[in-house]
Amino acid sequence: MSRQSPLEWHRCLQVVVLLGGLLSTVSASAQNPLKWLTGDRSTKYQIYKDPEGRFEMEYPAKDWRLLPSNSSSTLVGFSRNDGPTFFVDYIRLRDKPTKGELDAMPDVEVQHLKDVQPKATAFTTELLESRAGSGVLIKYSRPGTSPESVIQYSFVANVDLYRLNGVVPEKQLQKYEPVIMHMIQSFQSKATAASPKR
Amino acid sequence: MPKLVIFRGDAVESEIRLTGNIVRVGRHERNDVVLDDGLNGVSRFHAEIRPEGNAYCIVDLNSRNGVWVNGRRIKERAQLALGVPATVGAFELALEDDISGTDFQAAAVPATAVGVSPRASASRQTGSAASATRPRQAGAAARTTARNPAVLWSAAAAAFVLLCLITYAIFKYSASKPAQTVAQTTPPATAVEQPPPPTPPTKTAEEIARERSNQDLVAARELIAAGQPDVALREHVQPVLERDPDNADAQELKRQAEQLIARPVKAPPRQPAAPVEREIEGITRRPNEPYDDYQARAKRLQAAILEGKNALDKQDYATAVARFRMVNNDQPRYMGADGLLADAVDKQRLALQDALNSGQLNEQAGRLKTARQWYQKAEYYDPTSTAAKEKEGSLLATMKSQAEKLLNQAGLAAKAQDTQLAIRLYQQVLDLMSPGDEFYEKARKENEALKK
Repeated sequence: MSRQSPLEWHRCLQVVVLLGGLLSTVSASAQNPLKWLTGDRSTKYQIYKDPEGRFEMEYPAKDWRLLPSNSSSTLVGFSRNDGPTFFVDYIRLRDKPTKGELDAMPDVEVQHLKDVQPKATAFTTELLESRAGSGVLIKYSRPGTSPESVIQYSFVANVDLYRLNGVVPEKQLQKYEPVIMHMIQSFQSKATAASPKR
Repeated sequence: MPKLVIFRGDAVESEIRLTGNIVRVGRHERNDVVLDDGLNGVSRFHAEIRPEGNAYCIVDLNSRNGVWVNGRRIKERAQLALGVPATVGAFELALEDDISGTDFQAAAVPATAVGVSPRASASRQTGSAASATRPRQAGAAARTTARNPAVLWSAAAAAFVLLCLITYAIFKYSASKPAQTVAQTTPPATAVEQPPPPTPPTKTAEEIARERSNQDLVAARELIAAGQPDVALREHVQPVLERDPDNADAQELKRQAEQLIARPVKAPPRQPAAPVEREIEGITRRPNEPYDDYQARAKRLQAAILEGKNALDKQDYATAVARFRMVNNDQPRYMGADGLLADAVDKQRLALQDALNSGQLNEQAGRLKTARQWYQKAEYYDPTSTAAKEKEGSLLATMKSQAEKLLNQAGLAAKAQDTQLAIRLYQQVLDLMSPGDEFYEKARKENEALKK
């Protein structure tokens, strides 16, 4: 048994204090402490599988209901108490898009949204790599019964165009944005799983 | 096939034929039937109508205010009976038998696509639909009776008979009228008699002889004038004198002819003297330059001056400068070529600068096509200008890049069946580029194909 000198104890203590300080600084800068490191662990999720086997995704196990649909949205999900809603829109493309067309996707998606929702404002776009593949994440605001924030993730898998929409009342955006992002990130289409990432 | 009739109060809001698919009802726009009473009495996703065997049931999707049937709130689901309404917020949904429905698409699409908002309901109440007011429960059966096919067929038969009678009456009336109009408008086909051609007056032998003599004398004069007096005398003058020895004209012509025959043959005319080789004012003849070459050169210089002046008028400075320079190099100061050249160069410089500035301003304002036209004009003013070439080239590269991007966007929109957006984007390519440019033709073809 070796005995540590008081100098070594001091060094250990310094390292611990330093690490603690670093962690607390990073945590304090984030709204949700440690979420950037650990993900949205506060919500429990379960897997939803499309009855036709086209895709699967995770959604909150509590207070959420997902309904397959045969209208414009393939899937409609919503939480209780007027919380967020989530839609999966699916479009079969006429042909596989070229690389140039895929690069032009952010502009096309924003144009499309501006056409169908002329009152929407504050559009932001960013490219996002998810389990589903490379796509464009668009955020915007729109007036409703109360102002809403929409997070849309559009991506193409082979000849399938998916648009995942999370609609959140603006007041609840801080609370539900991580949930919507988790649902988007967990989405996986059969076409993506079958083909290698581009 | 059953249909779902949606009432608000006593008025029918809308109808939707049920085809065996699930129909979702709620306040949210993504529902198949959008119901908004303005009071939040309807949840975003309130209920679903689901087929179960030969019947339909209504399923409550955990709505806040629930679904009520026969005055009781249902627990999760309840079967829908014909004519028994289910209450959803301020609306009532009733299943009815639809015996008249054959065109599902025409009726179902408006019901699914348009939300039943309170404003829309107000306008629909004034509609002329047979079921605009609501007969409760038993009313549904009454309406079904009203649409009995036997009644409809009888009405159709009566209408057909009536139509036949009206047609018969019209024909009879028109047949009894005399056909006057045609006869009145057609003119009588009577032949117009042409007057007989006039008979020529008869001539005496004396008159005929005089006429021949006159003709001979005319011919004789022509031959004498043409230098053939012997022929004139033999063929024309002598015969006249034989007929009429006292004819003074003939005697005179005979005398003239004889004089001409007696005159000695003229010597051939002398060759004209060689032209004088005169110098044109202002154009010096080069040593040993043949006169023909000198004249041709002078003509070229004169033509060049004229062309230069015309080009200057048309702002074709490049041509003007070239012509004046050519003249000034060949024959300095000929017809003021030096002054004209200086003037043309000056105007060319100003026009070039002006075009470049206009191009730049338009480019900065994002009017790329106009900017390009200005740069092209600058090149036209001065084809040797490197600035104009560089600016046009750089702009064209930007435009091509934009056009390619727009084409890609349009291609993706077309593949995603967003035709309107695709057409708009192709049109932007056409607005940006000019006919003959790369991408222009492709955009034009795709645009036309989409519009068809």
